[in-house]
Amino acid sequence: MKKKSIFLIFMLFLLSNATPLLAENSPMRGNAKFNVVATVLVIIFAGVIGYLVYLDRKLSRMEKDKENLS
Amino acid sequence: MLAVLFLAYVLVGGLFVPLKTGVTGVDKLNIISDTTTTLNIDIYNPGESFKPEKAVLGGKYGFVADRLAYDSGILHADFLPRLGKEGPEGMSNLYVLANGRWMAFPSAVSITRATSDTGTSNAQPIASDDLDAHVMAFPNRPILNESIRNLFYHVPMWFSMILLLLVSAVYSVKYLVKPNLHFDLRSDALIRVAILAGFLGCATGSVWASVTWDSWWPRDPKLNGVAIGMLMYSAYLLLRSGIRDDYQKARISAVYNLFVFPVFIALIVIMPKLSGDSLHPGAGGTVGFNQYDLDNTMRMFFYPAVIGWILLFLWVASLHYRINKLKNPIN
Repeated sequence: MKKKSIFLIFMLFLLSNATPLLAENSPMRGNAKFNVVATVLVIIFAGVIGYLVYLDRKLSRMEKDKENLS
Repeated sequence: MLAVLFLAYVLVGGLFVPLKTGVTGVDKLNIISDTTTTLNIDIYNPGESFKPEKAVLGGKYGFVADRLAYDSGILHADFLPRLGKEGPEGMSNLYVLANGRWMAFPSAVSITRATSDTGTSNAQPIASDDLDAHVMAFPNRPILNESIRNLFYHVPMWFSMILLLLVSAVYSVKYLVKPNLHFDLRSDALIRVAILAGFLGCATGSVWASVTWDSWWPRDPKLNGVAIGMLMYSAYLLLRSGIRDDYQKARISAVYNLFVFPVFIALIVIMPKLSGDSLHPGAGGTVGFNQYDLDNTMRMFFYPAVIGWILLFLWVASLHYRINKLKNPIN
């Protein structure tokens, strides 16, 4: 619970700081706006790998339950 | 396995194939008529043999540059615009003809009338429709620039989501026809992974919009429709977690899923078309993909990208289904 709230506060902090990224000379627009493509790829891979890790943990939990049963 | 091949191809090609030459900037915002002004125009990816032939300021009528000089990425063009008594002031587009191809930079500079400018205009008629037609043909679009590559990464997220939801709806129908809990587990896994794809689509779209549309969440019926749709599918997860009995859970989920799917499609495909003011391409009245100015090079990567991402998400969904199956042993 505590971990989650810290994470949430951190995300809010990031968002509150995100407005300058809209500015004309923001780093996001660097390399003729290539940086935004890089960011998009990072988000997608983070999402997909995060989901696979979540599935992995689910499996580990089930394995543990099975061992406890036998 | 096939997904990995497709995605590897799309990642390498989609990131390394260079953009075609385009105009990315001008050093002045405002010029005054009746005086010669040199505009320094940034040319992106000019290549070895870049040869400027013509530069034009304007729309239907335009001012042709008197002198062009090009050196290392910057085109210097001298303009002497005379608006005359009646010529309108205001924003002008910039068009550059080089190596037989037109490039455009919309709303490049604003022209202000000088007090001395009372004679006749020296604007020449230019077939602007024709110019824009040429401009549509290459993918270094103004505003988008390099970020056009996001087409291979952001758009397939939505295609995957819609396809996964469609397959899930098919399994729901199958369950209602023949109550086999495996169908329900498949449908559940597909919806969860579809929500992941949708979430990634939202996040990547938001980042892209921050650069091209100057807002993290622009006013766009498509975005708000998607937000509502995602909430409806979150409600599906809540609904499932609230029911104990497996068969009841499966039946209610299937019915709910079949209700939600058409509403979701209506929200993200039909509503933006009806409202007609979506920022997304292909929303207001038009259907075609040509709106994306998919030229042949883009196509070579876009279709494999769609197939690759869809296969990847289907694979993740199948993993999830196998875990579901292990967790809920059905005999």
